[in-house]
Amino acid sequence: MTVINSSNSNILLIGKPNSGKSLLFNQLTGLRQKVANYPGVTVDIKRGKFNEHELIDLPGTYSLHSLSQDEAIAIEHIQNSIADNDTRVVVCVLDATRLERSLVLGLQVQALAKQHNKAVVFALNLIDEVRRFNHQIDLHAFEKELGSPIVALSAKKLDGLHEFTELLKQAAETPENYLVNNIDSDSSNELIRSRELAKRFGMNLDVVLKDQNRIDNFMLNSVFGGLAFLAIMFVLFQSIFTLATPLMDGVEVAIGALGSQITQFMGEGTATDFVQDALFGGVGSFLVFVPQIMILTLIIGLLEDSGYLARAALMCHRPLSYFGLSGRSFIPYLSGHACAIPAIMAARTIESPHKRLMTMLTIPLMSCSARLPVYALLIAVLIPSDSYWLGLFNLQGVAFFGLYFFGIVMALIVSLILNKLTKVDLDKSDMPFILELPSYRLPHWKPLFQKVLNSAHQFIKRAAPIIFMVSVIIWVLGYFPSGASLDDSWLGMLGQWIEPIFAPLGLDWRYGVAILMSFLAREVFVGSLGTLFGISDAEENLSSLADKIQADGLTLGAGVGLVLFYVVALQCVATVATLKGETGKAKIAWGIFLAYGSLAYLIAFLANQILN
Amino acid sequence: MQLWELPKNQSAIVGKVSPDIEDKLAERLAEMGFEQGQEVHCVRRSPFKGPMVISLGGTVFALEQSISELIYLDTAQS
Repeated sequence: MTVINSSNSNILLIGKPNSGKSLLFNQLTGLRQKVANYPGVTVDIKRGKFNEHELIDLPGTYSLHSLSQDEAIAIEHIQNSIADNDTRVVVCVLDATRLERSLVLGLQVQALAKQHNKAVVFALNLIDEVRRFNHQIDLHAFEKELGSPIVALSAKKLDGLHEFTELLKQAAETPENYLVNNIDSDSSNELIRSRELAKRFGMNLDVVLKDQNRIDNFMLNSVFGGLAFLAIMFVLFQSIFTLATPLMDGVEVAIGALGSQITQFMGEGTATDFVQDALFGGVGSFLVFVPQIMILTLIIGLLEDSGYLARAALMCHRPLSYFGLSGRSFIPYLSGHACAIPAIMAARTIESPHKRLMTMLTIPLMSCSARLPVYALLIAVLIPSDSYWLGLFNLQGVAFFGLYFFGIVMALIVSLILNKLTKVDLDKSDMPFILELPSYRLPHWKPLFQKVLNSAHQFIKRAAPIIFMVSVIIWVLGYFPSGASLDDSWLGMLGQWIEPIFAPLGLDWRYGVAILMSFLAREVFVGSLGTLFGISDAEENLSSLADKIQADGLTLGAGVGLVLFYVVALQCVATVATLKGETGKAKIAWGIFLAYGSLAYLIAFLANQILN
Repeated sequence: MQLWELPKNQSAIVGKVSPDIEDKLAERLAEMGFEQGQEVHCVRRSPFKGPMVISLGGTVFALEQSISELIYLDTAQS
């Protein structure tokens, strides 16, 4: 592991969003890096090695003056990092195609660094795009005006990177030679200064926008743009499931094989059962989701780095704002159909803290893939596979779609109601929807690769400890007293004891036990119900379990109620833990858990009453 | 005239921002380029009063109605 070498060896990388900062960071540090989550800072801060120094990639921002509270914490972190004794050099990354905008932050950072006697160097990134338009920048004069050295480079094409690396090495060696040396140090006129500098050294901006507008004319067109949007989202949605399925199966098989390999040498006994069922069974049931989350991150990363994500947010803003959400809520919602955990973390990009909270609280209503096996089982129980709607649509398929749709509608309704209830002084304190539409760019694989690895890492880090705890508890309850079947176990006893709770829903204790067990991950419901109905391989053999349940006499009302219960209830400890982490408030996380639980119960109760 | 009223493919000069805008937000808008005297061009209007797309100082922004109504245009110069 990398030891964070303290004493004055950090190099900071600061720049505005879309300035190619992440790619520059990757090129300077290679692929080994650590992502740190600082308390309160909702964006990731990456650390990597540059020579013997620590290179720190700070969150992208437009300014050192913060707007919202979330932003204030991130910006304060940047300011503290600049002032920090361990900081040796500050690198300001500029976007050569958007000189004025990136200089605003650049000059603010430079001024602050000057105050704290820190060395500053500028990286003029994206120079390849400027050269494409035959624009020349007089770097010598620019450097003189800035009062700090500047190197033009392209982190993508690797132009000028060697020169910059040499400069950075020297600056890190003798930072005292790289202190800010500008005559004009009036910090209040950074806006005017950046405009003057941009006018003198920047390129004609109309040319830059021409290409972008041409693509936008198509991508944002009401007809073609809408179709393109639907097509892209369809591909995204499909790949979460089709592309991920073989990988998920692979993980499942591998974990199963590893489990039996290990237990082979342990002989029979409680310890073996524990390793087999609690460790490999419980933890394995959630590791299965890792490939799906990686694919989801990859595709969203591609959309983000190419510039399309901003357009998608723009198109979704109006419809979503009816429900008190932002256009940026769309991607988290979509991701929520794979897994709520990465989706809740993706909500970090939402500009307004209030809308971000609304989005995070309603994401659990999206039908995540752990609910799929439960839906599949209950639909098979309730609807014969050969029934058609209007003679055209398979009714089971329609029911699937209906459940997804029900979840989305519930999320919008809940968001609408929460907004009505919490109508605080939004107009003044909330960040309005202002979105930069970046130039379209071909994504580079390095930052994408990092993002994908990081998503898996974050998911495991977030979910593993809590999943492990719950799987041990559930295993103990279901295993003891020793030698008992699930029916006679503590869990079975508990189920029978709480049967009166489930009786109004038309469900007996076996469903109660299966519901309790599925707090680990919802798909556990199928396996546990299988065990209780005496079918050992229920996951593979859904139809025989469905037949058993049918023969057992599950009423239509109770069945519909049960499946709707699964749409609404927040039955996932890992999601609750993530909500707690991202909102910083345990009260909110457990409050929403109770609220969705009660709502789900009410809906199931009503379904049972009305349909029977 | 408000920025929100700027039709597609038309340019104008940014004037003052509304005093209803909080100081911090006004400052951010200035940092994004919404400053008196700057030329702004409306690139696109979205259906159903969706966000408008404008270009300003070489950057393209999408702004929703509630904020673009609070940015005024300098009618004397446009």
